[in-house]
Amino acid sequence: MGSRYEVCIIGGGITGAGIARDLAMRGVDVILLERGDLSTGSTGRSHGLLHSGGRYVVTDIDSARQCASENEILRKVAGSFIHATGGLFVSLKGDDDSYLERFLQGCRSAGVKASEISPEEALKLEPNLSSSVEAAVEVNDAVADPFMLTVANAYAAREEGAEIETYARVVEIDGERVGYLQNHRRHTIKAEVIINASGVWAGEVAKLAGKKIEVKAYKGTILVYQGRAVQRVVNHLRLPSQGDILLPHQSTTLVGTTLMPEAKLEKFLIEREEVELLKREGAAKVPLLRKMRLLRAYAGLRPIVGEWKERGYALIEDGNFITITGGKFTIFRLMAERASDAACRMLGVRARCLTAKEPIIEEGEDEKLKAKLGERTMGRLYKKYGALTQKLSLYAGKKKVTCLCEGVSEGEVIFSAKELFCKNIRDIRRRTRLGMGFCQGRRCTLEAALALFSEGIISPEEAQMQIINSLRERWKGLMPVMEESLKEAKLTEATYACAGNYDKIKKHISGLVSFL
Amino acid sequence: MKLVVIGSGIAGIVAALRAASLKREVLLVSQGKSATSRSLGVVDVLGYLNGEEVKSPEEGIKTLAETKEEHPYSLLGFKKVAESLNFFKSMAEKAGIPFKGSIEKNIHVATQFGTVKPTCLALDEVYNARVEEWHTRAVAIAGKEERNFNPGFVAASLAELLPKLGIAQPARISGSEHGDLVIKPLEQIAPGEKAYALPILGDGSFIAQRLLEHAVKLGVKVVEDRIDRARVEGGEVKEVMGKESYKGDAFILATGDWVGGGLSGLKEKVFGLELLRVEGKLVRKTPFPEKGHPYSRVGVKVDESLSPFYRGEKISNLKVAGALLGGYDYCTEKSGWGVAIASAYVAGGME
Repeated sequence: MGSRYEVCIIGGGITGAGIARDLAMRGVDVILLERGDLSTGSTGRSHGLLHSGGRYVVTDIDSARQCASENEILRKVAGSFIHATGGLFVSLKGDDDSYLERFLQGCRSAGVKASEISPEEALKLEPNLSSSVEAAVEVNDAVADPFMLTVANAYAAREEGAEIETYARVVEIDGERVGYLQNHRRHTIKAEVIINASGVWAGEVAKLAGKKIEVKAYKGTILVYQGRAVQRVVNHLRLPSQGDILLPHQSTTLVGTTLMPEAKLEKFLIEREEVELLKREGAAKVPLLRKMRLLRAYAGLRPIVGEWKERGYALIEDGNFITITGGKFTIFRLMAERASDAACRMLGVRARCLTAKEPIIEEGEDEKLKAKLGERTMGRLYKKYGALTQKLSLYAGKKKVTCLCEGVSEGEVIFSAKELFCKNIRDIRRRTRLGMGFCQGRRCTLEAALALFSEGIISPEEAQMQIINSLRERWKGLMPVMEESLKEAKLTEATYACAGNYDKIKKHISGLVSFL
Repeated sequence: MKLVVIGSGIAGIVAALRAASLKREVLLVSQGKSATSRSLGVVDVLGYLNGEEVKSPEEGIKTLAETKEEHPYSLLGFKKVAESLNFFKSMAEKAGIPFKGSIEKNIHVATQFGTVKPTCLALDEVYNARVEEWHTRAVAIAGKEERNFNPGFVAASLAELLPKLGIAQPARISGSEHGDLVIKPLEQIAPGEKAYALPILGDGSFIAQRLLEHAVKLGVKVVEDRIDRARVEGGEVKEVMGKESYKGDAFILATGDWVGGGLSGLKEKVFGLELLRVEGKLVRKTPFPEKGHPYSRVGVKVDESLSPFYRGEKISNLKVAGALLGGYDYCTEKSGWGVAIASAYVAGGME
């Protein structure tokens, strides 16, 4: 590893990964440092909605415009990572009916494609919608897997020569010098330009460089239900509030989101009231949710610069230190472009941004792979890995099913471990959906550890640590919905504590305490 | 007297066996899959008490009687627990699946997780493979890889772990087919092959099946149904209902906790019996805390004869057995089958 770079990016969320790719394509020598796994900050905790722009047409017209145009661009350059589900805005009995007119007018002036349909038509499109729908507007929403889109950007960046380092925590920034900790070792590199793309942590990272940036964090909680209650995104047609949105995501339905100022950047809690609010708001739009199994809840922090209503991004240049924060998932490419433009100006690089035109990963189906796996498996893989599916061919022979709930093969687990920047089972889960189904990791965590052990990727002790850490992460998701999850929780405990004795043995597994 | 047992996990089966051996007419209502069918099939009696390992379940249970009065063992008393294990052993022997072990002393068995755990009674093949026997020997974890079992992983993990535990120091542990002591999953042992066995999740299923077959030989009738309600009059259960209704003089409820389906949320499913509850949070922040989770206390509250309460009143012809009972934590104590067997033995022996 060379220790001099033109640009060092701090933060491996969607923005950081997008910048790495953008700059690498312009021929800039770049390294990205992420303190955990890729997309483990706000990116991975978002719902992955690719906004049509409709959400913001009344309160923040600039954001609405940006969303509308980025939505179009991403469908072109990242089509295989995006599920073009379409979306609906619906109002229910009792909602303010003057909002519809303001909404439609906002859509027109922001260039957000929207067409009003009758409640009957809406119910035909989404039969599980509440019968109290009074108005409905069709929009161009889409859903992306935030993990995979980040990984795809990082993968493409690496192909262009960028270095991507995960579990690399920056501890020092001094002019061009950046010090970071990785695997308990201290490393130092030099970079002419430093880009702070650390989202809600932007203030903390700036502080390391002796700069002051104020970022506020607003918590958003999301519920995950087993099964798909809707086929497209369903938004509440009203002024942005809490519990406004339902979206289909792989085999689940997500209900979001709450909005609360949060003082803590780590270990913030999900309140039971938030869960109840989302359950209520979700079921008001789609009553079927009351009968569906609530799998887990998760929360992320939105980085906001200025007022919470303004969801625009902030680009701040200070010497060789660039901060890009705020904004939202949908416009990550635009944010990356602007930050890269700024870095290139500082470096005197004239190359132009290519990310609005070039596909992230070259599309196209591998016929050999298709023949080997069959059309159905190929289709299923494509839904998850998009164009990255082609890169899986080396591992396609390992067909044994590791995760029964989500149908994840051993080949996918090994592929992720070796090619997709994974350092542990939790990382693999973000790529493959391992352990995200109804048993929440009970049946597949040991099996996944065994697969990695068999491949020689981890030692038996690491396997033990990973099992414990991975289940700990799943437990966190169960906690806010524990009353609904007692069976799975007890079964997990009965399996790993009662039968496996992990509650007593874990202290003997050395290194557990210092695990990453 | 006609007895109706609800539940076909280890508790339901042992209750039926006891009642049948006392020449009672027994009907066992099974809903099919039980938590028992997912278990290791070893009889944990008491492995840990207050986080400390228990060398002798006998001493542990006696200490427990003084400190934890709502624990099922405390309600039943040591004598009954010991009797029940002897009864279990004699039944298992007759069912053709002999168990070894004694309440005086725990043994340690290796697991597919690459860990060891204390337990008390185990099938002969498992008992003979206990870790205590590994001392100075060359141990081979054998068998073919299957879902959630990899012999090489078990061997390599134990090679690291055992020296720290001080139970026994083998000369060698390998994931091969060769050694002084060759251990493989029971299911993989060929008929007639003299071998040692590693307990695997799911072994409980075949043990329960064999015991149930023996119960049928003793005259127990088995029906498939899912009991979801009951008729209680004058402090007595008259009948329980699923698709069909079942009348009897006495009833045993052995439907398990959330895993078995006896509890749903914070409710006992069939009768709505009174529960031991917890104040505040049900669980701790990590999945396997050494002290266990508060929710493990949750379960049906019973008197010393194992009769539960409904709206403040005791139901005298109903007894509760197994994981549906509250006041104990089988996961951290390692006391699952022990409590199930002891409570079922007492319930099945009711007058």
